[in-house]
Amino acid sequence: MTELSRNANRVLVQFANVVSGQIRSGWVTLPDGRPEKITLNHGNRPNEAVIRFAALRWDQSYENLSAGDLIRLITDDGLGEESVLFEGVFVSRVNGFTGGTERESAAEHNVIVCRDYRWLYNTCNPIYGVWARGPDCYDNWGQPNQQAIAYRAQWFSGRACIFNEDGRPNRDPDGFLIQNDQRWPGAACTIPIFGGGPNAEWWTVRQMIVYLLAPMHNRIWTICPIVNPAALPGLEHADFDLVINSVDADRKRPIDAVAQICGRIGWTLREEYTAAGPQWVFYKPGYAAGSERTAQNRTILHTLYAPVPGESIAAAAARGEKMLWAAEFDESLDATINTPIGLGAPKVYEITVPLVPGWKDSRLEPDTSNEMKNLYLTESQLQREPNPDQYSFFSYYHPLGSSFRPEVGRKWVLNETGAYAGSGYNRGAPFDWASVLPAEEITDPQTGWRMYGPFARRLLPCLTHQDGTLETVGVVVELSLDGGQSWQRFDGPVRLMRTECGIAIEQPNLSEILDKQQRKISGGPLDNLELNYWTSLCDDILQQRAWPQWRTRVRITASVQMDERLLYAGQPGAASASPYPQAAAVLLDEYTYSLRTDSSIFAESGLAAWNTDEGVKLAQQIDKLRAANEDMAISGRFTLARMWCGDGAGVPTFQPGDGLEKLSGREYDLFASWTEGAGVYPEIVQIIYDIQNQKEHLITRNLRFAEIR
Amino acid sequence: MAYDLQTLLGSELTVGLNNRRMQRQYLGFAGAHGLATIALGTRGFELPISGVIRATGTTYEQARNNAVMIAQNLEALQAAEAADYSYKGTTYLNCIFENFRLVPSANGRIFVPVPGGCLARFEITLRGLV
Repeated sequence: MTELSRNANRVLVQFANVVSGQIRSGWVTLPDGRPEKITLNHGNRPNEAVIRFAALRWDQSYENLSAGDLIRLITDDGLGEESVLFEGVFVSRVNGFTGGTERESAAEHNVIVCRDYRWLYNTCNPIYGVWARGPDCYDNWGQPNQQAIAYRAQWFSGRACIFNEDGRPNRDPDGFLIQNDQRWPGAACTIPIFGGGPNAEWWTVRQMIVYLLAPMHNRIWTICPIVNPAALPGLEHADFDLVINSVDADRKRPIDAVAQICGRIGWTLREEYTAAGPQWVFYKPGYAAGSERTAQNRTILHTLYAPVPGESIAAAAARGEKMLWAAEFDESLDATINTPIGLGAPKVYEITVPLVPGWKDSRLEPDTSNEMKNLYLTESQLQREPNPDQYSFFSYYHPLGSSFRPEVGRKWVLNETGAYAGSGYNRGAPFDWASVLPAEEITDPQTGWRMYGPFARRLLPCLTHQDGTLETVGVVVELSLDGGQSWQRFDGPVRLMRTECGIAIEQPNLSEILDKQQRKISGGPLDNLELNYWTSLCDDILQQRAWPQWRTRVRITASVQMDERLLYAGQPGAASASPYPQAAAVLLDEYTYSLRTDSSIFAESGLAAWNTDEGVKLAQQIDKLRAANEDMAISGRFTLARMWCGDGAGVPTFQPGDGLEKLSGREYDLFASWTEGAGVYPEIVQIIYDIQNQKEHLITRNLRFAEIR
Repeated sequence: MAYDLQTLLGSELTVGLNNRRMQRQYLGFAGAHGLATIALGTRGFELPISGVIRATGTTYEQARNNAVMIAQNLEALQAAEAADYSYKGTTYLNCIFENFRLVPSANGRIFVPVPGGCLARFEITLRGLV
């Protein structure tokens, strides 16, 4: 059979009955089924087949065939091994009829639509809750010799399936071994599961996918068993070793989640068919190479043939060229991105910083009457007083007082914007971040300028975490009543300001914040009076000390987010199609930079800190984005003169993800490059077998970046 | 069991036989000479049949009414399910009738008066589905 004259490809429709989720028959050929169209897609979009029953009226149905039955379309050419072009599930029936008009005949149609196993898997297996280990999944739980039982794990419905949540590891270092388990016959795999505690590890992309496709989530095991998800073709690639943060799969459909995760590292998947059944194959768009499909090379390049003007097609047909009958495509710089800019999270630093009083000195008026006996009253004294409001200490400086001055003695701020530098406050220059942050973190190496602005910020919990846990120590407020010579931890109630770096002390009675060294005031009008927080403030005022000569000081240890972020800008490679730096800012704030500085009181504490620098991970991801998108996109439809179903090879010639290298004959290269260097090839994102017209359409289009974004 | 065409259509039949026709798709290529072709299979064979309806009646009008009734019966054959038919010892499997029509005579009359009644010539096609 030559390419000049050949027989049409025969495609048989076969079905297998499914009852209550169980396959109840072998493959039976449907003589009345006329396959019309097969559409193959990549990612989470299912393959679809349309089958028409030409001999049935619209109100009839084939008695042995029910919705939900398995359907496959297989070649019947007698050339060798037959190719399975589609396998899936009978999902819907489309009936219709028309009485016709004077110009059009009456017509009836009776059509079924089938979708592939990705659709079925997605539909049946939503992800919710997590699999992890409880106390009964360990030997010697809680003991030093505690050990995970490999084949035990349990499901917790109240937890959300978020991998590396908040950029922190949450994978159990010991996987869940499934073997000889009656729930999933034939399964032999180790599934990574969720886990907490100090030994938790990061999820890699591969581990996330394996978890999502694990037997535990599979309600259609008899139809679609994945005995070892880690062995799915393509997952062995090193790209899947990448760790990405905060991947939320909760309440998502598994294939949707898998496709989304793959998209973040520039991969996708397709469903392939063999006589043994379907399988999911992972591949990297835009990376097709070679002409032979192997286990290592799952996407290949094809050369199509477009005859030279004036040429007779006989010679090309005799050579068996893949004759291109029609094509419509465009080459565009529009979607090129050769300078992707990765925007990681803003940088966060743990610091210990001095605060300044957030009130005007004139607002603190110590009551020196009655030989200082009215200067302050303890809570027990106030409770005995029938009219405590007669004391200014109560009326002005106690939250229950009638003229309460909420900021006085209570509000301490960093003055990062300089709002407290002016008259009335006189708290000095705006806070200089360079005094607490390492020079290399805060100084532009080119200009030597400090890299922050006078923006108001918020204090955040410390990066330091408590011994043996990942729980932050929070913020730590300390007082000094001796001008900073000694500090004592303030363990009363404190509220963090929302609009600036600062705190509000919420202890009702400020005189009950005692000096832990139980000292007395020495000298001045308050000589020999008890030293506490309130008397210390009064002493500073009465002795007319100007800030920063006050003996009362407050400092805080907390984290703060600065004005620079983790940033990585990819550079155009030699293969870039565009002479312009076509950029896109990609927010990838799951990558973080956080540092506990030496200024923190915890720097020498021995406690661990959540120091991160995920710049390398960010750069890896951005470089992958750039490599996949730096060239021109060729989008179009290439229609072949016939269907290429394998010709006895057992597998179809074209697969989604394959590339189109060249249109020989016209010698038109399809790799996209306007500058020197290797280009990328238009990849096939959709294949349509138009069986009635015996045509095969290859759809190429650029959705690489769209997928990733 | 095959139905005898003469029993159904009358004895004055002329039955031809057209072989199966090949269906082909021809494909040209932009700028190039020549065509490629894909054989799409055959549409089945056709048996063009012509015959005569003869009807009797005491008047021409009555005879013509009878002829119309016979013609309607022949027309109804087109809606019949596929069946096997035989003609002079040859059996044609899985056939349907189509394209029934009455053929006017040379002077334009369909129902031609003859002594004792009228006649009408008809054509019908028997299409073999296999």
